[in-house]
Amino acid sequence: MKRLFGGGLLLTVLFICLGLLLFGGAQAISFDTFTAESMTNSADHRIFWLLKIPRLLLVLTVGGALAMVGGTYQILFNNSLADPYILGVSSSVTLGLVVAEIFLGWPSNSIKAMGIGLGFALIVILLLLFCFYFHKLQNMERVVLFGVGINFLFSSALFILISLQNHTLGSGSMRWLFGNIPWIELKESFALIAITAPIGIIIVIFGRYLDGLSLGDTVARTLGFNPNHVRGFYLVLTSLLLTSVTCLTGSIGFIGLVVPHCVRLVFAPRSSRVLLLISFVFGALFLAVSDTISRSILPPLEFPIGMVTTLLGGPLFLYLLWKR
Amino acid sequence: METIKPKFFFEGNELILGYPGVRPLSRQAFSFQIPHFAITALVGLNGSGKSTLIHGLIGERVVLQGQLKCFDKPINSFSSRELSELVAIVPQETVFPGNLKVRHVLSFSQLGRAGLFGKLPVFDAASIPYIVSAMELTPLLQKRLGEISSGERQRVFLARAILQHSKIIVLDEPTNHLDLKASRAFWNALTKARALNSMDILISTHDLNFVKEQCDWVLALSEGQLLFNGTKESFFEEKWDEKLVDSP
Repeated sequence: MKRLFGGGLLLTVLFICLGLLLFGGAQAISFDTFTAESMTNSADHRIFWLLKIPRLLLVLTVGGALAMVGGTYQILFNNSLADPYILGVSSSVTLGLVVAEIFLGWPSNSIKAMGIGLGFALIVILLLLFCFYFHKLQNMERVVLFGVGINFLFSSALFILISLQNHTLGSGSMRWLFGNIPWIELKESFALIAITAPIGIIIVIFGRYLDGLSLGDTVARTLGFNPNHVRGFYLVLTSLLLTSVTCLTGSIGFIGLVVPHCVRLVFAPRSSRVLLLISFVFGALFLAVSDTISRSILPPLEFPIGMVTTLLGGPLFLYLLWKR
Repeated sequence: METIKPKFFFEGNELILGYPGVRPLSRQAFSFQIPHFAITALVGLNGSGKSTLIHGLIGERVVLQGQLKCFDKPINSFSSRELSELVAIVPQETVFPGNLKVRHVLSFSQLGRAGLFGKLPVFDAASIPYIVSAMELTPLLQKRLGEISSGERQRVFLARAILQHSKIIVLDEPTNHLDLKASRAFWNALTKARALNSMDILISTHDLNFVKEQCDWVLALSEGQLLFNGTKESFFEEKWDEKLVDSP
């Protein structure tokens, strides 16, 4: 009961922040002027529908997706430190985007550049499946080490590229290191949802397989599913989800690591399905709130979103760990 | 099951065990048969092939040559669903999700039968199966796995396996990390469970006292080969317990 109340309170606070995101921010719109009929063609009205709503949909989708992928990986790898970036898929996408921008001159938000990013991600996924096929990654610790290796490799490559580029092109690509919420159009935000929603739904529906895995591989086998197949299936699904999200925002740290842990600590959900659903809701709201804050500290400057999520989430996480 | 009652619950013909791509545990093949409704102890030094044999029983591909049979049928002929109704396992304690509640762990016993959309059983104060209270788990239902002692946790995992209602229970060195008191509580719980449901039990263990007191049949392995297969009485009369330690 107390837990329910705490969860309710937290949700209420997050929804109030959501309201602030919609009606506050650098271009504040008062609710009264907004509802007045004469406003339908005003600048405020256009800002609301052309900028704010698409952005809200974007941050809700991205935050939720990151939290879900993180929660999945923590079960999949039996590793409580696993975050969405642990396999190196995101850093490969980021590297691909920066390569496209620097060497080919394609802007990072163009479809062509995203194709390059997707290609880089596919290389990592194929490498992973290759290792699985030849029984090189039976031990999950090795999968994680593999991901850490890829991550280091690609991040260093990224750093070198960016330092080289700074002499010629300015610091435009720097934002990929901390994550970046772009301004997108309404139809783009719908396209993102159309891609991510089906993957998210499949991840949740098959969550029962994750429940089996959570008690160890031998138990999973006697419950009637092959742990290696489940891992392969989930690696592909989560990589796809992560790729589509990272293409837009770069790597936003911390959210995927911390949100699922907080949900576990507070709610002790009865199954992976419930865990992933709650993680989606709180991840979505958490990123939305962080985004509002990042744009409200020193308007019109935007603070790097990854810094805000870490500064907000870190103390909360430590507090929850301390309490348990 | 079949109309004719099987005589053996588990048997191996001309077996060579090992993991594909890795050197086999032994070059010499062996055969064994374990009678139905016995508590069988699987003994042997570390690395003798106990865990490999157990992995074979739960359907992993560890048979390089020969055949493993369960109730007269080759193990690889069971579908994964049939396997979930055949075997339940209590693995060696390794990692566990510390924030999962005991009652939720118990509900996972039905994951295999429920599939993706079936309902999982609920274990709350209103519906506690007799077996759960007999194993003294009722006060633990609302606790998280990380909050209880390792002895209690091992009993929870035993209860989960029993609630799977399979024909065979496999226990892989279940009391390895437990003190004497917790081990006794664990064996008591197992004895109670066996009195309630008849099932075949295969236990891999290093605890020869327990073998002497509780088991009917002994299967001893050494370096991937069969050392002894027979009744507990002849195992101890022929001093196989000493030969086991001295075996190469």
